[in-house]
Amino acid sequence: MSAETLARPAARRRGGDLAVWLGPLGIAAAVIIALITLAALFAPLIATHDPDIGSVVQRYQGPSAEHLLGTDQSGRDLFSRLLYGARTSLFGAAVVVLLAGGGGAVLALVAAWFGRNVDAFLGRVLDLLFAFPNLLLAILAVAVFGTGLAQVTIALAISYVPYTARVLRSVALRERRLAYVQAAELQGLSGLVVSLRHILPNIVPQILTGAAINFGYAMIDLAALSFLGLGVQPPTADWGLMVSQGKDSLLQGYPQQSMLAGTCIVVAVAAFSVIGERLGGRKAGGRA
Amino acid sequence: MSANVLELDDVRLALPSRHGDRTLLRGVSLSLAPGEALGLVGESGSGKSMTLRTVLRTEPPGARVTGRVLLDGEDVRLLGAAALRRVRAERLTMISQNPRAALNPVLRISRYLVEGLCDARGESRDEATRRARDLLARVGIADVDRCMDAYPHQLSGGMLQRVVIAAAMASSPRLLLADEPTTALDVTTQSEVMAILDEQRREHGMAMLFVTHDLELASAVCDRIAVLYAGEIVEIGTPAQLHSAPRHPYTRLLLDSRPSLTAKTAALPVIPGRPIAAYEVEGGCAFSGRCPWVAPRCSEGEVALVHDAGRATRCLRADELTAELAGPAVSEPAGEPVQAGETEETA
Amino acid sequence: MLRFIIRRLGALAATLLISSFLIFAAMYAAPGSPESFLVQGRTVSPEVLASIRAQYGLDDPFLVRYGHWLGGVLTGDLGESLTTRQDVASLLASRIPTTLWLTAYAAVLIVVFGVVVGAIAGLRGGAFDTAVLLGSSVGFAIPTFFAAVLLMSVFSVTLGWFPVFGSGSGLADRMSHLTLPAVALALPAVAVVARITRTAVVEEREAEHVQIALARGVPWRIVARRHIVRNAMLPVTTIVGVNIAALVAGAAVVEHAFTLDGIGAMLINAVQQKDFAVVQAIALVLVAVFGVVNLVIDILYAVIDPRVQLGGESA
Repeated sequence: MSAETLARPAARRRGGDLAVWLGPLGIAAAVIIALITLAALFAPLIATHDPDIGSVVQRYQGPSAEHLLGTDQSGRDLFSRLLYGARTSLFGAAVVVLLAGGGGAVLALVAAWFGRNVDAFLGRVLDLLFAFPNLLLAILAVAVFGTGLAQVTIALAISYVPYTARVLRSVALRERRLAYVQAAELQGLSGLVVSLRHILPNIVPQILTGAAINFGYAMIDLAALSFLGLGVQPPTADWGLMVSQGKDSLLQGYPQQSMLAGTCIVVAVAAFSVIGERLGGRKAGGRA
Repeated sequence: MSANVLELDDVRLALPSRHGDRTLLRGVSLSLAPGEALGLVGESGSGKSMTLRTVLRTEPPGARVTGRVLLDGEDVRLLGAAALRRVRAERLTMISQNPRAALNPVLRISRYLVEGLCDARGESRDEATRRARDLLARVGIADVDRCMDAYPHQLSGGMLQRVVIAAAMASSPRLLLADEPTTALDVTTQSEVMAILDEQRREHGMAMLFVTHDLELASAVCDRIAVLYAGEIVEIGTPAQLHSAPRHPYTRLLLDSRPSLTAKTAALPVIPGRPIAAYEVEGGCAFSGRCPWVAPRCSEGEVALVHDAGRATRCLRADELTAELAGPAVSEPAGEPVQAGETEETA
Repeated sequence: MLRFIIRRLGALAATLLISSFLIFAAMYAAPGSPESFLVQGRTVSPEVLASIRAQYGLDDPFLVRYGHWLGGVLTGDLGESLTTRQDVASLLASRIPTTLWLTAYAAVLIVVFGVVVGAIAGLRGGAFDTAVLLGSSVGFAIPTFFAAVLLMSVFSVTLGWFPVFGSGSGLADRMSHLTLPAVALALPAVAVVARITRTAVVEEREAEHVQIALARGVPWRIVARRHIVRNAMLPVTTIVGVNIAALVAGAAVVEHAFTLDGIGAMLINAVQQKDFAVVQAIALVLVAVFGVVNLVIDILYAVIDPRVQLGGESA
């Protein structure tokens, strides 16, 4: 087979077949993610009201030209709050998956490079982290460092590290054993240089795939912590917190705040998991 | 009603694919007398395994099959689910390529053997167990107890294939379908397993449809051989006939392209071009694109399988080429100990 | 097998020991002193403060305090709650039944609905399969707390079929109180398990040994049960296990949403009130339960897959 025939499928995929690869569901998911991201980025421009200010007189209003989606128990504009809520939800989840991916990558590279004792020791440390359920670790972190988005974000990232590190370690180890990496080592390049220049680029796709897959979980876990009152604190708008705050209104017969915020979470998580599945599934499909 | 165990009459098979239906069999006809062994020989993609699967009705989902597959005169293609199950349980049996994939990895050997007798055929569990032990002993397994209690991963490939053979013999079926039963085994156990298979088959008086890419192996165990190319039979004859006087160019080239045990050659002759699939045939002789003896008329219209004195050939020039194809003996004449080890053991 | 279990129990004990140290150390390092919480903003004389510090052993060196606490834990004394002055062990004992019932209920739902629905979808195919695939995609994306709120809104507020709050007493009352929480808790896991089961069954259907069993004339019902579903259970067991283990922590969210008096809700309250004695105790209990559940799954896996050799033991 000539190099030409080998190269053709790859070129074709890069061209117009992204849509085919995504499928109708994937395209819908990508569009949703794009919209949510835009909403989060341009929330101040799109929002019709200040998300944190309302008057109790106007509470529990239904949708109107003034308040597109109505108001909450404090008379704040729900549409604007949902827009701003996208910020904490997306931003928090993004930080979690990036920190978890980065931390996992560092551990993986260190374990792969030094091998033996270091690898075994890191394995034990990860095992210990595996002994804690994700959410418990984050809750304990709040106990120690107090409530807040930053605290729970970092705590969640740490609780995700064992998972990313385990996947990345096996990839890094496989790469480490390849002839060209060994050759680079024999040329006298330092471990740091070889790891960063040769091994890291090869695990980047896995880092990104892992990030896409974990994004949905991170959104859910962060929202759950906010729901518990441990994460984002009022009056900041956050989808998880809005579900929680809407619970009392719901019992009084005004379910819209909880329902709207919850629906936002469900749609966003579903969209991210579809994309994550596509990214992860391509690998799985290639293996089968 | 024919006396033949199996008769295939113009069997065609097409699989739906993204690029429209893909033809895999282009009209396969053959017959097997009771107790006879027929080899189906061809390269991968020639349709030999697919032919076998139409008999068992295990072709891939969505496949469209036409033609008749008569088992003792009864068309298995027309059977309802219950009748098909009964035929599979009682009158047909199959040995596949890889015994490791054929057995459920999480169940014991005894379960596999007993299930074929008890759940498929309705024998009592005790009776089935007794018979299973007996069958294992007859395929040369020394420690029957250990084998019965073992899980597949604890046995070697050769042992597993013996277990499969034992299971195949359990119902004393009329017809044995063997799909490359030794290909997945290592060379030393291949002949051993083949010998046991041949011995058991003769003992039970079963007919056998033997699928293989190995012309020599087929010659050693089969009464007749059908050579397949691109989804159709190009030549049928006894091993001796094919070896001494092949009448189809493809058979000739197959014979030439195998290593010789006696003469050392610098390079093995290779059949030029690549094998084409049945759906790539565009009228005319399917082999014309690779045939050294091709003539202009070869690409005009379908070539029929011409029967002549117990053999059959699908070549327009068969008569003109008789001498040339029989030609200089690059290969050993049939009957010489090409597969000496096997022929001796099977005897 | 026995050796494997003993070894794993040993490893679990070691993990718990280190975990207890980490948990204790984390609470020790937390900013804010416990006695300032104890006095709750009241102005107290230095003598009273000193006596409080002495009473709770707050002036002892770290390791001494840890040793003291650990010794207590081993003898069943989990200390005293800083907020209620109650014995933590008896507090826990009164709260554990609710959490146990809730998680057990959810676990049953996961197994029954996840595995059964997934297996039927995989075996039957068709419209039911499509419905399960769609349902599981949505179900997975619904966080437990939103499921809780949703169920509450529909079945308690609108329809009035189930009580909104509380855990109930007696079996029937308890079931009625815990149904919505258990469904909310189980929902995402049911979706995941159904999806995985379905995929495993579909893959196993294509397995050569399954095709061959059918080609041998073994009836479909038997092939489906003995060869397809049974083998598909291997990957499913792991997923079911992971999801059941995760209930241990997930219960906190649902208990909080439904204001159930389980240890999860107790943990959240304790965290917010910085009642470290309670936080430590519950965290340790959760880690222990999590470890035991995971151990049980590993053992179960070895039982159903003969190819797994436990700790190099010859089979």
